Amino acid sequence: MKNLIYLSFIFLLVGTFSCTTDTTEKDNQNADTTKVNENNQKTKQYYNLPSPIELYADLNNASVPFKLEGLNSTDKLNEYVSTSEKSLMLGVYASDIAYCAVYGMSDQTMNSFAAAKKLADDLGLAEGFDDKIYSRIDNNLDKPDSLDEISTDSYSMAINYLRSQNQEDILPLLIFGGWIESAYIASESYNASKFSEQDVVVNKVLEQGFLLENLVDYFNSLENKSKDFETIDKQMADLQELYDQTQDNKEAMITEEQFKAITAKIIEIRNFWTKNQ
Amino acid sequence: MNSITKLSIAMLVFAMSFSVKSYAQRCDRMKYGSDYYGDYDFRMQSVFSTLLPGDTSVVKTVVYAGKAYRIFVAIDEEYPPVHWKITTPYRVTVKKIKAIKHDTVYEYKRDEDGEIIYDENNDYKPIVTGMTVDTDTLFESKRVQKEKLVFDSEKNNSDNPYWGKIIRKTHRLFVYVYMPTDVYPEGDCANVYIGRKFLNASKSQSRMGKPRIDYH
Repeated sequence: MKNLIYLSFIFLLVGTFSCTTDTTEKDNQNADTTKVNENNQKTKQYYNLPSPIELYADLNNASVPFKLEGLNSTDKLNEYVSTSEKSLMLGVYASDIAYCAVYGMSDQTMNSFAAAKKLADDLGLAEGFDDKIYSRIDNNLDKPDSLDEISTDSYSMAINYLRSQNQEDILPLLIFGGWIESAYIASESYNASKFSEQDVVVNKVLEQGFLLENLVDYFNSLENKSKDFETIDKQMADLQELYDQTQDNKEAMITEEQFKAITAKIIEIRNFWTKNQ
Repeated sequence: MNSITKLSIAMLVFAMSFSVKSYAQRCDRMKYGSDYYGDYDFRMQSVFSTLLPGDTSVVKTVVYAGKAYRIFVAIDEEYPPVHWKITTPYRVTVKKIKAIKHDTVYEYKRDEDGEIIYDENNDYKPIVTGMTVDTDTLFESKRVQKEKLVFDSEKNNSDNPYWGKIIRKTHRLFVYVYMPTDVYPEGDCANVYIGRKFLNASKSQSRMGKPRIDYH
């Protein structure tokens, strides 16, 4: 039980994030709109990305069937070797845990949990959550206010641990992994016989474009990025270009061709990292 | 309580509290603007941070369709209200001139058979009778992000010091906070409260535990 709770915390590191970067604001080219920062001021930037839980809950509420094949196989666990791969895949499995939990799939939850736990151990993330935290959580499951306080401590410990170990690169990869998995599952959930932009899955995939924009901004704010980050930057730029094309539509929010192109790219990116090509 | 339920509850609780944690002061413990919490849940996307004089902060967030949001910025009541704005970004395609190519086409003097006549007195160069210049402009498309003002606290005529709306279409919002240089000598917590409430209860929410809609 403690392990389950522990993993849920890792998942939530993925699901919602808030990071800060200090930047010097540039001219934002708002010729016909509001110019927000007129001077070169130091700006603290914070990014929020809604949790995949919200996406999965909306799919479940709309009676979109659970897609077992949407989960990443745990058989490939040993193929994820580098720290970057493990970090990203931890986000993928954590997202799978959320998907299974929302749909009440206990067996699949445990499978994904076991995979994520191994990756977390490999990354040394377990050290960010000690047994005292587990005990406090386990003892306060029915006390939401206490859990709120405990989660504050747990989060701070995790971040401080990652920083102390010079592993700040892990967090963006966790976040990206969790997001691309949720976008992938949404894409794989599309099963309509006739395309409609009113379809809930189509809408959810379209909404991911806004989360993508926040992620792109977040990644652009990072410094000293490794080669894996450059790959992700390129993949997100390609995907964003597809989303941008929907903004040129005169009538429809998204056409069937655009939807197919976007979901194909999401699937391609997700399968690239999960090595399911 | 089975393990899945416990997991779900833990996820929900942590999700609601994750993004509101401060890195410096415990600004999250400052319950500024509590009169305006209403029945919104401010734990998911609020950001609590310390700003120094002259600092600006921006919170970039996503608001989902079908949910109601309330946003405001609050500091210690001892100080005058801080200036803040909300904008919504949008991406547009801007066409820019990449290059202008000029192709000059000369017309030459020709004989009855259409052959070009060369000038014996000028190194047998063709005799030019006319000239046209074709101009080809090459454009390149570039996506540019712009922002549209949604709310400005200094221009708010409402009795309520917050922005609130039911979101019909998912989009991003940027919340800017400007810390004056002359009012807060040592800086202070400037908390961006982003509250959300579901318009309809869902079965997922009930399965994941009772939705927490009260801040305290």
